[in-house]
Amino acid sequence: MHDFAKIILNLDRRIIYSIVMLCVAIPLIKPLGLPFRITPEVRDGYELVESLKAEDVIVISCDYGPSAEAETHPMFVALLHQCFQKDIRPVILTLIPDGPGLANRGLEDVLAYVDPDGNKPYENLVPGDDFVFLGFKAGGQAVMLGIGQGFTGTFPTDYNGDDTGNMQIFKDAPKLADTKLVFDIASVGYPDFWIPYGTERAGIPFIVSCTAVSAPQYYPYYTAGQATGLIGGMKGAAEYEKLVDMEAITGKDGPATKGLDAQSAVHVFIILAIIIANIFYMVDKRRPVGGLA
Amino acid sequence: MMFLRKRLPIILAFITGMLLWLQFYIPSRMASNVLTSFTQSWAIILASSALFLGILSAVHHHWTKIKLHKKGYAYSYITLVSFAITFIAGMAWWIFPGFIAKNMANGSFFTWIFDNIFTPLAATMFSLLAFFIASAAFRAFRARSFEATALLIAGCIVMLGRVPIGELIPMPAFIGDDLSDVAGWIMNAPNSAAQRAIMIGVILSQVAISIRIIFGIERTYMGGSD
Repeated sequence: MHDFAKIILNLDRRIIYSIVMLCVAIPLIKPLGLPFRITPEVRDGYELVESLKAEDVIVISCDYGPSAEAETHPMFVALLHQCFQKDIRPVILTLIPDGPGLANRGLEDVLAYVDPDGNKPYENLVPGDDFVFLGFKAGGQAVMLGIGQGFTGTFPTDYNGDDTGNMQIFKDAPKLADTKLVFDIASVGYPDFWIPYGTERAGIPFIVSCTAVSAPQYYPYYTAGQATGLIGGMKGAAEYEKLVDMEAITGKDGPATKGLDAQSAVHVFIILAIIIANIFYMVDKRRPVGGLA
Repeated sequence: MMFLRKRLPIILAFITGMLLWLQFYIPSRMASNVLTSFTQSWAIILASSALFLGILSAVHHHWTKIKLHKKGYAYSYITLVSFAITFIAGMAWWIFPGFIAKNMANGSFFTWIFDNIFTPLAATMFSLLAFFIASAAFRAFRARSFEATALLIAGCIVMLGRVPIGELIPMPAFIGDDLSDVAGWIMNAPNSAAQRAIMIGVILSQVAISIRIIFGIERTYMGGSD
């Protein structure tokens, strides 16, 4: 038994890697379609956006890069669909240097989207009137303070180099306090700064969407009411897709919903691995040696 | 020289720190706005300069590594060449053959680099974490003590409760419907309390450090140890 425990405890890491790979690949190839509920954190954020009126302006801060694309980008796409379906006008910006590429791609994909009937519902949206993408500006907190004074002063031109001073969206909402909320989709720590430097000063609500690993650190803001909604990781994004009803809009499940089965499988495997390792650890009564993480 | 190296930074830190601190207590909104506008434009300029300095520092580091043939200097070639190509692609005023746009616009060479090289590489690096975490959890996550066992149980509940499968694991009625309710409680109650305590501690430390910097007691940011 002790020999068997030693073999298990020193299992070749390539076997573990192979099982993880299968846990990811099989559910992606053949989805299980596990049902899931909507958590209050996500519903609160969704309902706040739903409560806005047509023509209202909101700020979407896309503070994520390609490394967190799988968890955060589906949220951005679902939110844009929700905004455009309700005629809410988003001011999109990013505070990290690798943010503009994904934000621009997400925006372009949604604008070019063809519904199941073959129509392009967003093709008549006008940049500067119905939405604007401001791109990246260095400075983080200074940018938040800056748009608190005025968008056009901090961003004289948008991502495409067009003058923001002439844009209708900024005539209707010249500064942060004139917008209805800030929705930060982040893989970095900017939600910590948006609250003191942005939304609390402007007196507007804040919603945070982040990677699963960083979600725990934002719960104090949610429980204190400083963040109205908290959308954590791929599960949160999948819940948001379900609320927005991406299946009805696009005719298929959103990317976060598709990825949830794979995530479930990997989580189950990791927990089983921990339990098995601990059982054999108890049997062996010694610390495992050898093998690399 | 001593004035430029030692006294001027302390004077600047004092003036900037005091102004930014006091503007929170100025009852006039206009005065506060004027001060904020002034300082924020400086902050944005400084942040942009820091990015430029970062680029210079990285190039200098890799150039030195190549010049001295330090271990792994071949990777520095790749870094510098990649940097140069991406920089040119982003700044170029002409359209590269095979592409339909210039600079960073859609359909440009820069966008192609971002979509087809940078994005897959960054996503791959992050995805590898799942494999390492699985292997590391198997080897290192042991119930060696009460604290480790509590962490292990809480971790397992949250991991299962934050994915759909957690909703298929029923719980006794007095606890909740299923495991995801328990995970939700862990995140909302003990986690929030602990995070809030950490946050308050960090912020109090930041206040203390800020006061030390503003009054010139803390000088390590200028280099050296005094």
